[in-house]
Amino acid sequence: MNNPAFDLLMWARGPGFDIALAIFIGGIVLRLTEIIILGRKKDMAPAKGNGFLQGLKTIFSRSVPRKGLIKFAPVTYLGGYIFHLGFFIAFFFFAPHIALIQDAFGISWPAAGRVIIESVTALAVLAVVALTYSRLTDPVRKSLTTFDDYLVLLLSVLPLITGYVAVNKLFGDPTMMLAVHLLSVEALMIAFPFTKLMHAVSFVFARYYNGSIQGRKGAES
Amino acid sequence: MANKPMLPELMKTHGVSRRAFMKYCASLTSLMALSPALVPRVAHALETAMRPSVIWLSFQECTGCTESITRSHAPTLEDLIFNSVSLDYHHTLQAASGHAAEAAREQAMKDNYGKYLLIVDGSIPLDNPGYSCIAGISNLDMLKETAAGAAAIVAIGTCAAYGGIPHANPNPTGAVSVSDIIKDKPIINVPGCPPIPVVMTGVLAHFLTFGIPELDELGRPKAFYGESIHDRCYRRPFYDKGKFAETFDDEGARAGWCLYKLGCKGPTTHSACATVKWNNGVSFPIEAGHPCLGCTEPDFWDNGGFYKPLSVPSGDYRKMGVAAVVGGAAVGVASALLAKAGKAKAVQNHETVDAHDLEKSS
Repeated sequence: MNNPAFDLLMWARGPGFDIALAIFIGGIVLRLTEIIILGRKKDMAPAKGNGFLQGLKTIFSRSVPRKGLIKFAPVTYLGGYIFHLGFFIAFFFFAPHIALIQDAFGISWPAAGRVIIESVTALAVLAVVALTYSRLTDPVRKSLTTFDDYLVLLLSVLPLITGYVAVNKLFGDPTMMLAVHLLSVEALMIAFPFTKLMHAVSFVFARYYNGSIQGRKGAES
Repeated sequence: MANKPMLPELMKTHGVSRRAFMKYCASLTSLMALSPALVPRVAHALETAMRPSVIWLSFQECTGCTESITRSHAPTLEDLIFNSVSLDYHHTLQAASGHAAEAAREQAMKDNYGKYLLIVDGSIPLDNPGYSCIAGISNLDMLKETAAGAAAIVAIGTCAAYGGIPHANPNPTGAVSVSDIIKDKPIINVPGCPPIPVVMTGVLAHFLTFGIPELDELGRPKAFYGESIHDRCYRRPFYDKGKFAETFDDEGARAGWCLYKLGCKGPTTHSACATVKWNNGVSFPIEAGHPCLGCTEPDFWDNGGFYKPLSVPSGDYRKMGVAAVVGGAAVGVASALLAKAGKAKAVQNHETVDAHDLEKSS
């Protein structure tokens, strides 16, 4: 006698994870190698500033919102920050996730408590709902939104929802919900290198390029 | 069988008072998740139970389940409940051997056809009948023959319920569970490696008093397997606070913190261990400092390692990761070089066009 939920969990923990990991890592390395090797056209003009330092600075400075954004686009401003911070905290400070990182890389750090993890998860989910709503209602954003954007929103929010449901046993068989949670993460991993999700890695390069180009010209960025 | 003493007489000979018996009935009733109003009914039913004939078949097993049920906190009422059935056949416990033993089984089947309770522990090998035989009869044949006349079947232990350890990868004997073979009889699964004694006697008591208990989708009585270890674990507050033992002898382990990171399968395991406990309620594995192995769940032996946390992949994923880095880099380099070559070729093939040329062509 088998338990289908357990079998699915074991598939998600075993072959499913291996496949997703191969596509995730392979895809990221592939795209980064391309970006780095293609490089940029050499700037022959004499440098008026330090492109390298300005590039490094820009990697971090672009995380700070520009002035007036809160008035201009409050949903994007608040929703964006809440989602990113919530996702980051839920991913890096929930004990079972730390156990995975510890197993893979041998490093670990203290876990956050249930109240923090569940609060930030709920806030992150609400943020995604608000961001999606603004994309659907704002005519300009709506016309700019592609299928890819909706897919990315869905793939980012599913692990948060399924994780919350699995931990709190809101509905469904808990073993099944744990399997569904892992599968939702694996779907995110597979889509990651080939969608806008890649920004989680490529933002470093994009910001550096932008910053260093401006820095070389002696301009702020 | 008819001349065997009923439960009240057994109680007298064992020096068990009426008060102790009623207390036991009350705890059994609450354990079975029944209304307290049913305590007198449970007591009455146990006292006047018809002492059904029980045939206990042991197949591919380690006798741990029998050890567990017979070594429950003796001498107790649980023993007496167990004694209140007429155990007509049990390899380990019966005095008879050889042909006499088989004759006892056949006689019990004949006398109580359609009414006896069949208890099975151990899995059944399907690859080769010779892997496990009793008196020259294969396990499969004996199970089919004995199940045909049974009122109900209780699959005791994870081997009988789900195939258990013999069923574990690579399953050399082709071991299967009772429910994989018998489809036309009610089957109560009482998994565990071994099951808790009071759960086994509780299920028997329920069968004697109210018939077949309510079962979950894996055939387990909901009263005993309705909740997960994790939800009832006394270490759960540490999980919620994010406090975990990292090794078996660190400060966290000594302080009794959560064992999730040491591989505890409590979150996906359904059993009464955390509430009923073992050895007369003394302790259970997590209380003794060891993570739950998940022994009441199918395929618990193949869950990726007892000491691997549930959130850690079960396979050798690091090799896959390294291969992906190498493969991704190789394809990336090839793709980038191809793009560069295309770019260089495009520059080479580029024909300069000025305004005069454009005028000419239009």
